[in-house]
Amino acid sequence: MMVVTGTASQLPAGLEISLAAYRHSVFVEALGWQLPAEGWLERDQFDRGDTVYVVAQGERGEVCGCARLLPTIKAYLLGDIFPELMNGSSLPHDRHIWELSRFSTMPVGDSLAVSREEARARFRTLFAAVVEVASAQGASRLITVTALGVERILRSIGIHAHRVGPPRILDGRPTLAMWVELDSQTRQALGLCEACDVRVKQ
Amino acid sequence: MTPSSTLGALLPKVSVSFDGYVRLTFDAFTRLTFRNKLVWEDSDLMQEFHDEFFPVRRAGYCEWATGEGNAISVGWAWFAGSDMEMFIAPGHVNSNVMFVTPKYYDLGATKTSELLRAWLSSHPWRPERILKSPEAGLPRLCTSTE
Repeated sequence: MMVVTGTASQLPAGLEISLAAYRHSVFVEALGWQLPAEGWLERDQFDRGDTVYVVAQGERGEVCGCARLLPTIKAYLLGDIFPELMNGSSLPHDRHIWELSRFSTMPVGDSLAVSREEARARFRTLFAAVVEVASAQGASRLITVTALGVERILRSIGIHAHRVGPPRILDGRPTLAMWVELDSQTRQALGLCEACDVRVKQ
Repeated sequence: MTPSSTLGALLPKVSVSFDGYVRLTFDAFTRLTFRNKLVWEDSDLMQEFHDEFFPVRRAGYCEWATGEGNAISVGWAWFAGSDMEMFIAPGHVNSNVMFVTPKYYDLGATKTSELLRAWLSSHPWRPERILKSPEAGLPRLCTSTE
């Protein structure tokens, strides 16, 4: 798995469209989220010129994973759409805090279903890339809106993740905001303190 | 009747630290009242157990929270075996709490999870009923408030 990162203008030609198509397959078609779509492409108001993308590609160049990073000093998903998940605490507005959204390693299309072990390995690889990219942007922590299952995965891997407050039912699904600390615990859990085989292109 | 000033001294003061954790001692935590409770089944969680060759009949999550605003939140996974008895599932008990020593040193996330599991084990957390998911992947929620 190769990981490519950058803003939309920095991604290789055609990859942004492939990414939007992958996101549509995952979040709109597979997960049934009510999201704005332009035909078979998924984009929203937070896909801006300064949005940073982390894109995983398979051997044939197909998109097989993605993540989106937004600085909290500008408009972001949690702040604009789900502020109630902050459990009464102030929304973060800090150049060292970035928001992670649209994270997925779900295989789509002609991609073969993978074993749970392979799925977990892909999750770790992509999340490691997210941590590296966010850290390069100056982030010391991430905030993210996610499902309970993801909380379970993050903590089982050993990532320093902790919830902001109780989950709320959004679109019929328990959803919560979580902090992810980009500290030594998280880096060690993702193998970032050791030799890393993730090639990140910028 | 206990004077309100005495009641206030008995109830722990809850405040959120700079990093989002609610820090308090375990003793203070045990004096909290959890009013909001959710329980539901989760097909993905059950598949996780099956993939690990851990035969379960049902699995899902429970969520407890204190009142609104800076609520303390505790959540855990559960499973039911062949006889349908419910158990707290392997893995962390999740929370926005960080337990501290009386001198306010962090006990750490792992110790906090272990203490929460011990605390849960002494509470009647098993719901009287669970609503089975009407469709795969969509939880039906059982809620209760006190």
